[in-house]
Amino acid sequence: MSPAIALVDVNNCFASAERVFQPELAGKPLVVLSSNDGCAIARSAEAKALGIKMAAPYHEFRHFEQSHGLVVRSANFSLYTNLSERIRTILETFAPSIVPYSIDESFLDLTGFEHQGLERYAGRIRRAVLQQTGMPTGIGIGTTKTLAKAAQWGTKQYPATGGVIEIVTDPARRERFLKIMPVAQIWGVGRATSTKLERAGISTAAQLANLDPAVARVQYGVRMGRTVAELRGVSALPWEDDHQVNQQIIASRSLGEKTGDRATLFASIVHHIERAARKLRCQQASAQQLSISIRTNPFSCQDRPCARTLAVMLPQPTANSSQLVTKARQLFDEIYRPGYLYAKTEIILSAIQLDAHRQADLFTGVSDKHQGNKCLMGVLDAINQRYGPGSLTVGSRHQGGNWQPRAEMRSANFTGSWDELPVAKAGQLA
Amino acid sequence: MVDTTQRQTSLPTGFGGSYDEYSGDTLDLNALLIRAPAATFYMRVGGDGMAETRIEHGDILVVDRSLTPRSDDIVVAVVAGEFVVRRLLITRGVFGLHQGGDEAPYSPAEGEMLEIWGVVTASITQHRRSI
Repeated sequence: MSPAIALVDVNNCFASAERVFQPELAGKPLVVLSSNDGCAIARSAEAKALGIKMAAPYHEFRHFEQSHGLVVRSANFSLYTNLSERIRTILETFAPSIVPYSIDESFLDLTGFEHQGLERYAGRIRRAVLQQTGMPTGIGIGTTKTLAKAAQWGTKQYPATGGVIEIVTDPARRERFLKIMPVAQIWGVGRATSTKLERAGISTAAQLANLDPAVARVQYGVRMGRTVAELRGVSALPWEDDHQVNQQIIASRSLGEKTGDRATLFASIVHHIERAARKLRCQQASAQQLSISIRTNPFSCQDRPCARTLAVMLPQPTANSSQLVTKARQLFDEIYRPGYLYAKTEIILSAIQLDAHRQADLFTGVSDKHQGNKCLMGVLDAINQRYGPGSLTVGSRHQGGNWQPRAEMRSANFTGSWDELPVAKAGQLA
Repeated sequence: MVDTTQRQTSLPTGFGGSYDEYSGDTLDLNALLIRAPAATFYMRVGGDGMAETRIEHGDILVVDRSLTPRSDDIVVAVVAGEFVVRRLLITRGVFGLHQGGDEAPYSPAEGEMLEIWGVVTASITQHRRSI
């Protein structure tokens, strides 16, 4: 029995999520902007048709608002996460094993479902997700993760497929498909590598699959060796990495307004640390290295440039916000220089390990205090989840201030706040 | 599997088996009102047009998208880009959205689609808002 791995990918995820609760956006070109309203991070099909590119800066395409009725929305991550979790719950009812890969992609193990008809079964999955959440998906099915991802790419290119491409049961069909797939679109092939491959005369997925994996590994690196094997139907990537954990967590944002004010800057750093530490705690992990940086806008001619970073190794790993904030205070006092207009702050947590794997340090020990803090942090997370991020914070957090990123066009928190529910009209129709 | 002997002694809940499992010591409204959590959303009622069905302005609607709408269901539909709450009546294959009273029902024009967003399984009226 050959393996059957499906990749379920939400089409234009963030743009589709906006439409679920704003039916007036149906059929209109729609772009979701990154935090700070900087650039496009999701586009509806209509916005793509206008030629708006991924990551394009807002000012480059905002003229479409006047000419083509373009609608923009600021990123509303609590909404996207809510819908993503619902989709995951639904997918779990269709496969014995599922591995979420990103907010809008999950791998499903459909091995043994051939008798159902893989394509028909995937069609059922698509319809269930669409009906229950309003989110459209594309599903690619292959014998390896890389082939599943390739097939999923195909569903976006060829709408006639109805959103499902299956290249498991018919090898000839797989062959035909790989022949039309550009090498640059293959999962794990970056821009530099694809240029190199094309120079060597390898421009399609089929040509890459014909390479000897050993040769590929020598010429293009270990990762390429795995990619080639996967394209040939030999699984080379782990289905699920038990110890999978972020290698580092970066929290950074451009400030809403440039500032030289010490308290405002530090407040934004505290905000970053709280977000990053919460992420750590969600993974039941701790970090041992903390780095913070502040910098002026490198592209601005008026501002005197200044960019300073400082990192420190902690005596023991922690996920405790207040311990991290204390450390950050010391670092910040070292790097802060008055007289500059800073545009961005950033913190990085690294040297991350799972708590389950941690061994007590011989000298400092894993103290009871640490356990107590874990408990406190749990309460903090619960309160912020219930009453909104930032309801309760560790000391010295600056209230107000203009460092909060701009998100002027954000839709309501439709799924996360009783005060912001979508309204269903009971009265007369207009 | 449902234990039928126990079911017969319990009060009618409107929902079957799984509800009973939760009803040991503490009653859980989620277990009563939500059948399919991944497909259940909440909306707020705007306007008095459904008062005859005892759906009041400001009520919270529990909307289940996993259900197939049937005639006589209360539904949330999309009309002209807006959410509306109505009673769905299907007469001889024609879908009509009705308010409580004598108002004329809304039906899509010939060849047009009527989008039913979800089926309303409950409406919640809060009589004292600030808890």
